[in-house]
Parts: sequence; C-alpha cells; structure tokens
Amino acid sequence: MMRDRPDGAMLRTLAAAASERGEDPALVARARAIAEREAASGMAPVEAIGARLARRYGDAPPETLLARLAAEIRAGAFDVEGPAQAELRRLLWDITLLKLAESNPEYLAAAGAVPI
Amino acid sequence: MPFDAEGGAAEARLSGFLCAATGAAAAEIQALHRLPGGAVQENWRLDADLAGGSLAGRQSLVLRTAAATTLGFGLDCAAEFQVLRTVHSSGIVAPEPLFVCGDAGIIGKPFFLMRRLAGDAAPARIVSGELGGARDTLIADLARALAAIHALAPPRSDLACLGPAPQDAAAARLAHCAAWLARDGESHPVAEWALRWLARYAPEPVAPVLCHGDFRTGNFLADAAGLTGILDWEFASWSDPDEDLGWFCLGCWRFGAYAREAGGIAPRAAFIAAYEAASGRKVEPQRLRWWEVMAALRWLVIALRQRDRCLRGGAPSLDLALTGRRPAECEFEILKLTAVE
Repeated sequence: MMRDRPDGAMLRTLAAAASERGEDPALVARARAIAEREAASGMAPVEAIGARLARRYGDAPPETLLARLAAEIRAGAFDVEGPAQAELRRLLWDITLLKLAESNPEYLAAAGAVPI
Repeated sequence: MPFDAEGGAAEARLSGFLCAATGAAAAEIQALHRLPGGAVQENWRLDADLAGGSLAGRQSLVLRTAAATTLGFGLDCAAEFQVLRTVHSSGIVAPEPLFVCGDAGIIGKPFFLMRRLAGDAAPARIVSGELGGARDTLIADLARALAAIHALAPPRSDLACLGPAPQDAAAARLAHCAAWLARDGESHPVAEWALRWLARYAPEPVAPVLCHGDFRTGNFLADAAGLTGILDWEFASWSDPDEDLGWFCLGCWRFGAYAREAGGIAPRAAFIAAYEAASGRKVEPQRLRWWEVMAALRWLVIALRQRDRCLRGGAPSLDLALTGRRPAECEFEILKLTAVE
C-alpha cells in the first residue's frame, strides 16, 4: 500500500467506536484528523507516485509497482551511489513525505528540512 | 482486561494470592485500575491493606501482565521479573519486584507485582520540563543508569532467562527485522533500503552486555526532582551497548522537542559525554549512527506488529491502530540518517 494502514476510512470507524467506549479524546481527534487530511489529499499524490513507478516498471496496480520497487532494492539494484540511487532516494523521500504529511504533520514541522 | 471481565472474583483471588505470598492473614484491595500507557503490557495500580505477614500495612503496588494480544517477541512475564530482580539488586534505579505468579487461575494469565514508585512517565510532561528537574541533571542520571545496566555482562546465572548472548548482536538484530518484514505481506521499500544499508555498513561485533531494549523517554519515571525509576524491561537482551544509545536518540522518541536529540531532553553531546564518563567507554559516532538506523527499522517493525494486533489480532484499540500510521516517522529517520554526506 502506498499509504500505511489502517486507511482514513477505517480510522474514522475505529475513532467512532473508541469515542463510544470513552477512550482518550486526543487519540480520537488524531485519528479523525488523519482521515480528514487523507480525504482532502485524495488519490492525486498516490497516482503521481504510481505514474513515476509505472515509468520504470510499466502499468500495474500501485501495490504491484511498490512490490517491484521493494524487490529491486532487496536485490541490491541501488547499492552503488550514482544516478539510479539518487533517483531512488528522491522517490523514497516523496513517498515518505506524502505519508508523513497525512499521518503526522507535526513531526514533519518539528524535524524541519529534509536532506534530499 | 483481567479485572473488568470478572469483577470481584478475580480481585478475591488476587487477595488470596497476596495472603499466600506474604503470609498476611488478610489482604483488602483498596484500589485497582489500569494505568495509562503500556501498549505491549498492561500495568494496574494496586493498593492493598495487608494484615500481618512480610508486607504488613498499606502497600502501593503495580501489577504487570501481558496485554490481551501479544507482539510475538520480547520476554515473558517470568523472565522480565527476573531481569527486574537482577537490575534492582544491582542498584539500578527501577521498581522493586516482589512476587511473580505463573498461575493463570488467578487473573487469567501470568503477572508479577512490583512496588509503585513516585513520578510519571508521560513524555509531554518530561520534555516540557514540568517533570524531571534540571535537564542537565536528568540527562546525566539517565546516562549513569544506562551505564550501570551495561555494566552487567554475560555469563550470569541470574540472567539465564535471556538465553545465550549472540556472537554478533548487530547481525542478529538485522536478521530478526528482515524475518518480520518478510512476514508482513506488504511492501516497504524504505525498510528494504534500510536492510541493505545496514548490511553494507554493519559494525564489528563487540562484547555483549545487558541492554534495556526500550530505553527512551516514556519508559522512565520522573518527579519534580528528577529520575525515579527505569520501567518496561520486556525487551531486555544481551546486545551491543550502542543499541540502547541509538534507540534513546532516535527522532521518534523526542516527542515534539526534535532539536533536543537525546530523548527530547538535552543535546545528544551532553548525553553521550555523561554516558562516556559513567561507563568509561568511548562512543563512536559511526557505530551510533548505525544503531540509530537500526532503531528506526526496529520501531517500524514493532509498529507494523502493533497495527496487526488491532487489524488482525482482534484488539479493538485505537492506540494500536494509530501506531500503524507511525512507520512514516521511522522511514523519515532512515532516509535522513542514510543520506549521502
């Protein structure tokens, strides 16, 4: 999955149940905020990353493309410094920043600039 | 939750256990409620009045037991109790362990009891400075405590519960993380990148020592004056001492105070200097960096396991579900720490 699980819809459901059980309101608020940010972003950022992966691996569902990337990394295809590794780093950063901006933007703000 | 389901019956059996363990004629439970935190283990505040026996009078205790669903790794209840007994008797600031019970007939699963210490582990209160006293004193006390933990080395008969020490702790940890990631069933390219980087730059093995395994802000108690106790020993193992240092400094454990790299409390240099002074061991920055990358990968793996406890294991916990969204923090740290210089 391009985004980590549980997705926003499931978080919203879990938050409603947690709220009924009287769980920590801060956790409920955090879950709802992630769901809202994810809904606001929509699928456009995921599709943009999918398009970059498709240029390398051809058209396939995002999960399949991500699995191919993971397999290539595992096989050592990017171990040597150079243009391919630099491109990989940019891609991994973009995926990570997308996820973090939705899951924990406060972390991103506190951590500051990223060394891409 | 063992007591919510059964109400008075489990409490009555717990009173009976206290009487048998202490020789008290009666044990009246005055308070029993779950303490906050503890995603892997449950901690219950237990106040009891004991009539006679070895602990006569009002006792302020903590009952520690496994959560309903488990992580799949870490020490069991009896082993954690034994580690706590060893570190407490070695003078390390930690709760005094009192009794362990392997009989699931008391509260439905094994548990142990320890004395409750003063203070609070809430990270927000500690990184804000509300608790812990002067930051330079707190960080020095934490560094001294960690050095004292690392002074315990194998072989030790009282820590046989930890099993044999690994020849190469870094390689063992790497293999463990790779195995858990392979089981996950989803693709994690940044974690794969970390595995390759860690394999390329693996440090030379050093003599193993006792490592806490989860030494970080949130896992120690502090009051207004300073450190009162190191908690949560279920990940203790024989390992490389730099593992605990890397874990403590990981960005994920700074709780909003990102610039204070040592647990959100103090600059990294202050923590390392205090640790070096207390341990007599020089910390190599490159080794520490390797273990920090490993810390990020290990926390990522744990976060995925916590997510599964909610999504697949039937633990309806929003806290666990939200932990499933935390791998991005680990991935951020991995990419930052492995950036080309």
